[in-house]
Amino acid sequence: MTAIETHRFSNGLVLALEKLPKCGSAGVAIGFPAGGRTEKAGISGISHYLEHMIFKGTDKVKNIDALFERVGAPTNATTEVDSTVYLAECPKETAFKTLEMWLQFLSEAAIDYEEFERERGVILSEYFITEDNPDFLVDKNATLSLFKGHPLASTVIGSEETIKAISHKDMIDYFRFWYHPSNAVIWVSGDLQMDKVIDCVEQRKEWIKHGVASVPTYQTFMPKGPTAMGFQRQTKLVQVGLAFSSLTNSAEERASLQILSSMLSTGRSSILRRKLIMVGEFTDRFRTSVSAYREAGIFLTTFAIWPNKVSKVLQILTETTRDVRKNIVKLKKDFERARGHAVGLFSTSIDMRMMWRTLAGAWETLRRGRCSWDEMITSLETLKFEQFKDYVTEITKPERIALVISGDIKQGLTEKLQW
Amino acid sequence: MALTLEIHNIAKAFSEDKLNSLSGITIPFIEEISKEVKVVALSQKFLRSASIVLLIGRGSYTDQIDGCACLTNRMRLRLTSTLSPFELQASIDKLGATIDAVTYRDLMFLRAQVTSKKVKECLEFMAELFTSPSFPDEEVAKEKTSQKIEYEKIRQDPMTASVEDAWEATFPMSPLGHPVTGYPETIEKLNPQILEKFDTDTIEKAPIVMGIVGPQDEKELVGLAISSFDEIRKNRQQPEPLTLRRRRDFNIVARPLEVKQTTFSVGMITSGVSSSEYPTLMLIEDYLSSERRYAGVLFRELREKRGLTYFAHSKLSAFKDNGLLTAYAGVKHNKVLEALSLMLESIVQLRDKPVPEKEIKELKTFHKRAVRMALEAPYQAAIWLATNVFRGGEVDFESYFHNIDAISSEAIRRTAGEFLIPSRMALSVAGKPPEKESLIDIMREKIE
Repeated sequence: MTAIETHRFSNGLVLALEKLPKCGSAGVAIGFPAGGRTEKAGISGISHYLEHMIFKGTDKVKNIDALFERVGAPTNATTEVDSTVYLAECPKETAFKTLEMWLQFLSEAAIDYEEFERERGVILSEYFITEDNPDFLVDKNATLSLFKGHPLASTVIGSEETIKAISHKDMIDYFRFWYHPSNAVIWVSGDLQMDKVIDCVEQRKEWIKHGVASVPTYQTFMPKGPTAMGFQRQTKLVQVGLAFSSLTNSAEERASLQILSSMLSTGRSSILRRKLIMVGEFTDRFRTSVSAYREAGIFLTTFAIWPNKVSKVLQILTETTRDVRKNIVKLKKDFERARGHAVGLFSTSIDMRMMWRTLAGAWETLRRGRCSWDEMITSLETLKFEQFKDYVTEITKPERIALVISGDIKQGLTEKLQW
Repeated sequence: MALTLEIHNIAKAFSEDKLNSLSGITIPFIEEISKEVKVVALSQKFLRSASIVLLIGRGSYTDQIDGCACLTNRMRLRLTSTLSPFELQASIDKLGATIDAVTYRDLMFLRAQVTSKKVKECLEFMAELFTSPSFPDEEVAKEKTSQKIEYEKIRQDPMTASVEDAWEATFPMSPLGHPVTGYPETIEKLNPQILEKFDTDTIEKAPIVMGIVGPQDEKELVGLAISSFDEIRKNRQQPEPLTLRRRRDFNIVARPLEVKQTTFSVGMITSGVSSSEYPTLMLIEDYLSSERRYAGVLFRELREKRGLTYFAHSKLSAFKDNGLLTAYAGVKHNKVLEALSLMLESIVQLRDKPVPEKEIKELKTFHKRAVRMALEAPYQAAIWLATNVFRGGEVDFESYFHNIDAISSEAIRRTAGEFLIPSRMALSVAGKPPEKESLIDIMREKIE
């Protein structure tokens, strides 16, 4: 059992402490509900750009990485469709110092004009990576395509045009609008005491002040698929991404999503693995991601294939999806194997590097207000097949599907697909 | 069946002071079962899961036909003599484990992550994978297709292509320069007979190191490992050391790709993990900008000061006797020469100008803390322990940290002077490479 204590300050700031007795390292994550979904048209990518600018320091402190390094705290940050989270891992002895530094740097960020302009080159370089790497290209466009018409539709990084269009004023305004303590979440993991963590936060008065926080517009997601996107590239392999939009409201729905992911592609004995990897004809491995945002989630599987196999693979994907939807009652054995895989994967992935552990905790708290690894494992262990069956029948409907393909592909390839 | 073992920890004793300064990390426990067969265990009480690494001391550089070690290792996760492909995959899911097979140039391993309650079951399953491989024609053919895709995937992304090409550029006359996957044409040549022979002649004789990290006591972990792997008790032997033929000058490999930015990598031949310079090389890696450090000189010069790139990092890949230090960055096509020039200046500065003592002190603190934190993630810890034991590195933390503390500014300058020279350096460029002559000019101007 992992004890997670939560404290809500009177201004709305949420603090969660995951207690890890005898653990020598600690982790700190501070998150805001600002991401691709909170960006206006024309400046998409600004959340991610701002994430970079925070690392440029304050008026007084320029090289914040060097300061974190002195307390043995590697840092990182990640921007998602629905959030931006700042991270550090450190020895437990410097956990309070690390937390204090992040609190300071986030509230006193300078966003200097010259630094802002220089960083644009770095952002563009990162954008080009997402264009050059077929995995990333498919990944970012799957979210865009799947949630078309909904705020969740975002590549997060933006486009070359929008990155070039973001002005310094846009950035300052965006920072002031979205980075407010009352809509933030602080997640700390380690062998620490809650009262001392609260004291540490309260020392920074600006973090407990009251004010009106900006809240994203949450709206029901109405799936409008199936959608398909293709990118013509001169590569030897073709990258295929198959994505499903999912329900994520209850613990059972999120457990169903994890088990469906194991049953279709993440599990070693998953259905698509049997049809596309074990047969030794199509691909060598899948890369799968599952994200459960507030209104909906995405389950994405991407893989590389030879160009002459594209038609056959698309046929297998459509047949499999139809078959799972129509014949889910016959897949009880697959369900049980997938449950075993999902429980194991979730339980072991909690023991990952401290930085990613705190990120997972911050995401879950931002999205649902609280997080408990034990409850999530229990949901996976106790989910009934009947509940899973209903869930899968809904999730595999054609309107919930997006297909993204990149490579040397032919026009009209996806037009007649029978999902 | 309960097994009574007399277990001797051959790791050095740990002082109380040092233990206090490393709260959370306990002493790794090493048991030598027979010649070249060792188990190294680390207990971390706060974990829910365990990580197991079964390291086999043969990698791709001993391949008679390129790709053989990699394919043999991949086949272990396809089927065994008693489990069909589907039964094998279903068994892994039933265990709730994540298991994969990884091959490097000097070693290969099976690694597993499993809940702490299923450690014994997982070990027994891994023993089955290790001792009962099967190489039927049809299944080998399927795995070959997968391996060819892996080869191509690496080469269509400019970053992975450039870093991989750095091996070929740096070791053009050595099997270390060949890709671990082999080439499509060599993969095609592999057949069940070749794999079986490789398995019998090589893998059965190769050194074994098992790394295991979990919440159980070290002795319990070692006991579980030994009782599950009866097969590994027989004596084994180290491979012949690899002799490198020296080049006279630097080497360049260029790969044109239809991409939006170009990645270049500077490769440098270094000594290996068992050498006295290894701790200094690790600090040099961090100084330049290891993949875990965002305050290194390359990151500062290329990204922070000039906004030329998203990534500028260094990576030390060291074997027992040799290694490769790579520095790489991805930039706009028209910025390659400028960025390369800056990178080379930052690198050669190490041999010409002493790093200030204050910076060295900070580097040491960073390095020790980074290692300490990595060892609390079971997966990283198991790999770190097993590979270090195999390659002759330190795994008792007191000696490890003592070696880091002993590095002086002069030692860094001396090591850089020995390794960062034209005959040990090479360049690979993937994307839209500039004219070869201009690359040669910059290399000459900056490193000679």
